[in-house]
Amino acid sequence: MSVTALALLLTCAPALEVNVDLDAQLVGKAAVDPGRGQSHLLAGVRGGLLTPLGGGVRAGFDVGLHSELLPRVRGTTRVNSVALESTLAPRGIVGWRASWGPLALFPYAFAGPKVGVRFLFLTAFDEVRNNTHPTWALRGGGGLTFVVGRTRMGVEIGGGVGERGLESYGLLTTGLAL
Amino acid sequence: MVTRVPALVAALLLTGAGCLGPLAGPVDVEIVTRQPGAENELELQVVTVESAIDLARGEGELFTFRAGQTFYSSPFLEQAAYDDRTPEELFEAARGDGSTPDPDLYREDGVIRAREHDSLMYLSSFAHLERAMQFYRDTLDRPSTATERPPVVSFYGGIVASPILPLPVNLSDNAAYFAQADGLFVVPTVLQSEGVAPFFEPGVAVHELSHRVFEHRVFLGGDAVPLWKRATYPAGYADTTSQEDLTRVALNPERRGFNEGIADIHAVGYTRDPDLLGGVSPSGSALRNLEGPLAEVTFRDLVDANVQEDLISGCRLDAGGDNLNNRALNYYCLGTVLAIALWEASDADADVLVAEVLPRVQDGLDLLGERVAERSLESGELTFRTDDGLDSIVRAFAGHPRQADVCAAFGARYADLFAAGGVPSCP
Repeated sequence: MSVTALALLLTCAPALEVNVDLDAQLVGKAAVDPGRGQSHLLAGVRGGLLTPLGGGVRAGFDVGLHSELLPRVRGTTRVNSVALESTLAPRGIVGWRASWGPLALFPYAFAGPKVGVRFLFLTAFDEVRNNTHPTWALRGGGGLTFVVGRTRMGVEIGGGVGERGLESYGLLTTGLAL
Repeated sequence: MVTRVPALVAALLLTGAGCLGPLAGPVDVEIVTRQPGAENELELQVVTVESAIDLARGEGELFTFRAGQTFYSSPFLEQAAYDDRTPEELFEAARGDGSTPDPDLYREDGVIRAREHDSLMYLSSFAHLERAMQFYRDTLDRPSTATERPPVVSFYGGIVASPILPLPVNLSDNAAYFAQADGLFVVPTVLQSEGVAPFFEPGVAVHELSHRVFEHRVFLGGDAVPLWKRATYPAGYADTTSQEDLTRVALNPERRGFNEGIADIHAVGYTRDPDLLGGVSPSGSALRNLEGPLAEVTFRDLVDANVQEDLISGCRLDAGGDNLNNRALNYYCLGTVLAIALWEASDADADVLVAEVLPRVQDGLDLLGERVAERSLESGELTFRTDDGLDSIVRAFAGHPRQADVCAAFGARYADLFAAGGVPSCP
């Protein structure tokens, strides 16, 4: 989003919604066997701005920072690899908020890139090799957030394409509207 | 901005394996294999893969890798479906779905390397199977349909009973030849912590390929094929044959043990290490070690459970019974006795084993196929006897000075079979 567009958004928005969420994200994507896939469990935080555009429609953006909490280990003590992935994902969001007093539902769609780093260490006998390399994906999807007062909870599913091919994910989130 | 975009896109694309393009042989790859020479330890080495059509997609001149390939143990449930089809048609029917492999590879200094364990397993198993094929075709100079017809190699796939009952049995911590689909399994390591995953050991590729060679040479070349079908796909014959009989033939420990012994001795011939699985399972390889605790054990000792306590438990022997009818028997122990005999017939010398003994063992398997067919047609079921196997190998040494060594080694391990006249080709 350009600086000009952000300035317009801020000056025209009568009320901004700033959210901070805690996510648990399960990503499935290709390994050597693309049919089998591989699951990655990441946790992280997201923060964003949503502005009402009228008629319940809200649009904005958020940025998520996630990392795998537990390294994925494959192999034996003599030959094995350990992998951890961390990602940064800014994205645009548009949705429609239905409110009933302190309660609200917010179904939404989103799209955006994801960039990250895969920390890979391959141990073969006495040699430890660092194979850390960047990752990327372009993703889109949808979600549904439940709002009670300032508290937010939600689910999200999405998919896209990255440097290892197709990937899909599901996410649970909880957070606060500031 | 416009000129920077293509560079950005290129940079993003370059993070993916797809930038390697087709990897046709000869191509240098880094794998886990044994050091050449006296050290003979497992380590990372760069080798040249010759037969790849596209290594990044599992395509080779000698075999094809399919990721997650499913094999069916019973592709059909009707006997007529088996009676009406050739073995090749049954193998095709027993292969289910698989995917094009997508290993995580990169190129460094002209060498293709793996970023992580499973991709390293992929490269290593591809290279080891190529060398196993070359061992049979070139070193032993004994090609067969098993080394001329490319098999499918299932990478991290599983077994399903039948297409109409698609509940998979996922394999782990092992390696296998699957006779029903005439295919090979490279299996993921899940529980194993010591040693290395099996297919990192080059001898394992030779061992599994040797099972394919045994199946093709002994059963698929002649008149025993209809009875081989009954033993290999018993579910298709359950309406006309008792489950007891089907199971007895399918699980025949003499046949399976002999097959394992042949596979082990060929692996030892390739690796030149009698402790075949020492690198895979340092604490659990003793019963397959040709210079291990089974070194002084005979065939009759195992059948009668006349061995020390740890071998009774390790070989799962029934202390009171006839162990050739013991379904719990660890038939690998029978195989080790055979492999030890052939090792001793080679003066425990890998050069002698490879140059003189193994080629004639291969010739003996062809003769064994004829004998199995004769016996099976007489009995009406696939019939395999250890003494037929031994005699066939001895016959293959006719006129060769090492025949006497083979007879002596077999005689020491199989004295009761010799006494019963089961190996008439030995004086």
